[in-house]
Formats: sequence, C-alpha cells, structure tokens
Amino acid sequence: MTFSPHMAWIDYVVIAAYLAFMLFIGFYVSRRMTSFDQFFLAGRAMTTPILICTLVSTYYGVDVLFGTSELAYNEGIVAWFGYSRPTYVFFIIAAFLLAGRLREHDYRSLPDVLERFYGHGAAVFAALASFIYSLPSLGLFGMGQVAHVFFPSLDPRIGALLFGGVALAYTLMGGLWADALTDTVQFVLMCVTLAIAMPLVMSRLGGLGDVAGQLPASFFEPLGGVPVWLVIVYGATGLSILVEPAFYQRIFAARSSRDVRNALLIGILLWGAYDWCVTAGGILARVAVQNGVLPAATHPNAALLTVVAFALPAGLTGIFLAGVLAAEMSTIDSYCLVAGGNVVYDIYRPLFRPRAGDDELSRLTRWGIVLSWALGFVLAFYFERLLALWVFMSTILTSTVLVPILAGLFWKGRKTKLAGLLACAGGFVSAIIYYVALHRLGAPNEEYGTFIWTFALGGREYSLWQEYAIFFSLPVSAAGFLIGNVAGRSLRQPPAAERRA
Amino acid sequence: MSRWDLLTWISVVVLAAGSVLVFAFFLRDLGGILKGDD
Repeated sequence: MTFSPHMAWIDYVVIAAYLAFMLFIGFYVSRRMTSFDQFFLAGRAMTTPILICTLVSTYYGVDVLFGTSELAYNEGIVAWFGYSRPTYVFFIIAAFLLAGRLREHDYRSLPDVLERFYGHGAAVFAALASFIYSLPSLGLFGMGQVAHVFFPSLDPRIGALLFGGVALAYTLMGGLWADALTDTVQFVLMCVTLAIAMPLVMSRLGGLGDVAGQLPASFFEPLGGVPVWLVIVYGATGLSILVEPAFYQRIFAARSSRDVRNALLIGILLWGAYDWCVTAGGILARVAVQNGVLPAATHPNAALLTVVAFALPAGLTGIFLAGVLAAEMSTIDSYCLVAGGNVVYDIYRPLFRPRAGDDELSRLTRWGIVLSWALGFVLAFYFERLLALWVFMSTILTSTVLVPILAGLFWKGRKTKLAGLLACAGGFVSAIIYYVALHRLGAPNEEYGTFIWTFALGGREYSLWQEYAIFFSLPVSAAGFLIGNVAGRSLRQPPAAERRA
Repeated sequence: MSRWDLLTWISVVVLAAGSVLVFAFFLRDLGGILKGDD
C-alpha cells in the first residue's frame, strides 16, 4: 500500500470555505481601524481567551509540524523531552517575570523597550534584528511544501503565493485584530484536526506501546540517542522566547498582565499536548515507513503529514489540510505585521518622521508588511537550507537584544546609553562574524542539516557547530554592556520618556 | 495500554476539549470586542 492524498470534491470545498472566511474576517474588522494602536495593537483590549488562541497558533507553525516530528521520526521521544519541554520553562519565566515588567509603560514594540532604556541607537539595532527574525521565509516555504503534498500538480511557489497571499490580504485589511480573530479560528482548526487525526492514525498503525518492539530502545528514553550537549543547544533555542517580538506585541496588546499570565499558563498545557501528539505521530510514521505502509522515500520532515493524510478519510483530509494551513497562516500574518512595524514604527519614524501621525503610520506600516512578505518569499525559495536560515534569524535576534532587554527590565543599577548600544551592536556583529567564519572554515553536515568546523588543538579534535553561535555572541553582548556601562554617561531619565514628555 | 499511549490519549483530550473550551470563552468575549487595565 502506498500513500496518495485522498482529496475529494468535499475537501476542495472545505479549503475554499476556510480561505473565504479568513478574508471575510479581514474585511469585517478593516472598518474599525481608526488609529495606529487599533491597527498595530488591537486597541490594547485582548482578553485571556483571544490571547490563548493567538499565542498558541502564532508560536506553532510548520516548524513544529515538520521539525519536531522529524526529530521524533529520527530519535524518538527526546523530541518532546529534549526539544519541546525546555520551551515551556521559558514560557513560565515569561509569564511570571516578563509580562508584568513589560506592562509598566505604554510600549508598542520590542525596540520601543530598548529605546526607553538606551535611546535610538540600540532601538534601531533591535529593530533590524527583529525585522530579520520576523521575515516569514520558513512559513512561506512550508506552506508551499504542504500545498504540493496535497495538490501534487501545484508548484510550491504558486502554493505559497496563493495561501500566503490570503494571509497577507487579511493582515493588510485588519492589522492585529484581523490577525488575532483569524488566529482563533486557526487555533481551533489546528488543535481539533490533530486531536481527530491521532486516534485514526493509532487505529490504523497501533499505539506507541504496540510498535515499541520495532524500534531501538533509545526511542523511548527521554534523552536517549541524542548527545547531552546537543540537548543543551536545543534547550538554548528557547531563550529566544524571552525576546520574541510577536510575543511582546501580544503582551502590549493585552487588557492586563493577568490576562497574559493566565493565557500563557493555559497555553503551555495546549502546547505540551500538541507537541506530544506531533512526537507520537512522527514515531508512528517511522514504523509505517519501516513496514512498507508508507513509501521508503518519505522524507522524515514530511512523515507526520504523510501518515495523517494516509489515515484520514475524504472530507477529513480537507479539514486537516485547512488545519495545517491554519497553523502556518497564523504564524505568517503575525510576523509580517511585526516586521512591517519594525520598518516603519521602529526605524523610519524615529530617524525620518518623529511627528508622523496615526494615518501615516498605519498606511506606511501596510507597505512595510508587503515588503517583509515579499522579502520572505524571495528568501524562502532562494535558500536551500531553510532550517539553517531560521537558526540564523533566531540567533541574530537573541544575540542582539537578550542582554540589553533583560538588563533594562531587571538590572536596578547604573545603565548608560553606550551600554545598550554596545550590547546590541556587539551581539549583532559577533553573531554575523561567527556565521561567516564558520561557513568559510567549516563544511555542511547533511545528517544534521548544519555547518560544522572541525579542527585540532593540542592533539585533540574539536567541532564547532553553527548552532553554537549564541554561546559566543551572548558573552560579547554582555561584555559590550559592561564596557559601555563603565565608559558611558549615566542615564538620569530614559530618553524615550524625555522625548514624549 | 502503555504509559506513552496513555500520554497520547491525555494529549488528544486536552487538545480537543481545551481548544473548544477556549473558543467558547472567546465567543463570550466577542460581543464586547466587536462593540469597541498594571
């Protein structure tokens, strides 16, 4: 038996209805975009339920569906225990420590926070890093691949253009309200379709207990099969949660910090359940390939999608595809909005138009959204190593803003403008230097999809992976902060507060 | 049933029931949102 997606006419109707409803929501809320705060921060009126929907759906896209399931397919339950679980710890830290601090002032974006503590220079570096991080390359690429799995005659670029174009259209119309309201529908779709799919997959292939004998024992050891140092590197990627621009935007858009905290705590439960289902699906997909139920050529990162499509009957396939598209559209729309804000509100406004009004900011931010979508699309189909591109984007963001943000929010001692600037610039530049050096000195590693530089020192052999970048750039950023704090002049009052007074 | 299967079934229930409950509370808030606090 080999795989072919069972797309019947009812599946096409489901997909068309889903896309039409998303566009309708964008059109409906477009009439209430009366100010930049309405467009960019949903009037700062988001309640706990809508925050849960938008946080859960925004933060989980094809990187989880493809990435976590691929790790489970190759290594087993370490995908949940080693890769997913550390992120919940960072979300708990964010819920109890970060949310309250970020709500003490009327910030609009992540660079806004740095502008308050360190002035324009640090804020522009942060906006650049946030813009690079928020480009929707991985999402558009994943969406093209998903479309190609279900519609084999559809070129992935056309699929990304079509489905990604819908996400762009409703975001341009309704800003964060359209983003958040479509997120609620997408949240239900992505959760319910996976919850329906898993029992059907288990009924066709058996449960994890049934297939355990067909897999290496390490598959069912929480950290089995993967070196501890690699698990630490996986865990460190969770640091980006503490400086996640779309996450910050939702904290600023919430009605209160209690809404944010409650949403995150409930969200962790849902993320944990979603991750476990994806992990179990990846493991079952491997057994299906081993037993010839799925073709041997099935790529590990498409295994979950393939095994679910195999198990679902016509009608449900369309709903599942809508759920997968929903997971990705909810991510693309949010990051396009953040990146558009970075270009206009965080870079153009302070440098060229400090007195720009609401209408001008809203109009230009829409152009910023189009720019980020177009740039993301070009990068998505230009780079061959999309996962490596995403790791680079995440590294740039964390390296640039983690130290100055945490110092600004929690360090009670002396802070200088120069400290913020050197911390941002040091992290940004050292991360880029590390990447350039590693790509010149190292070699691609196909097994892990990364770059590794192996060298001998004192008779022993060492390996540097590109994923280690933050272990170099974060100390450089911290050193920049300390040097700037010694050399710079103390800030009596935050610059942004002076400017707005 | 193995403990991993039990975890899978718990996850399925949490996902299905949790998302429907959250959506129900969202619908309760929707009226206020469409009409127009640290």
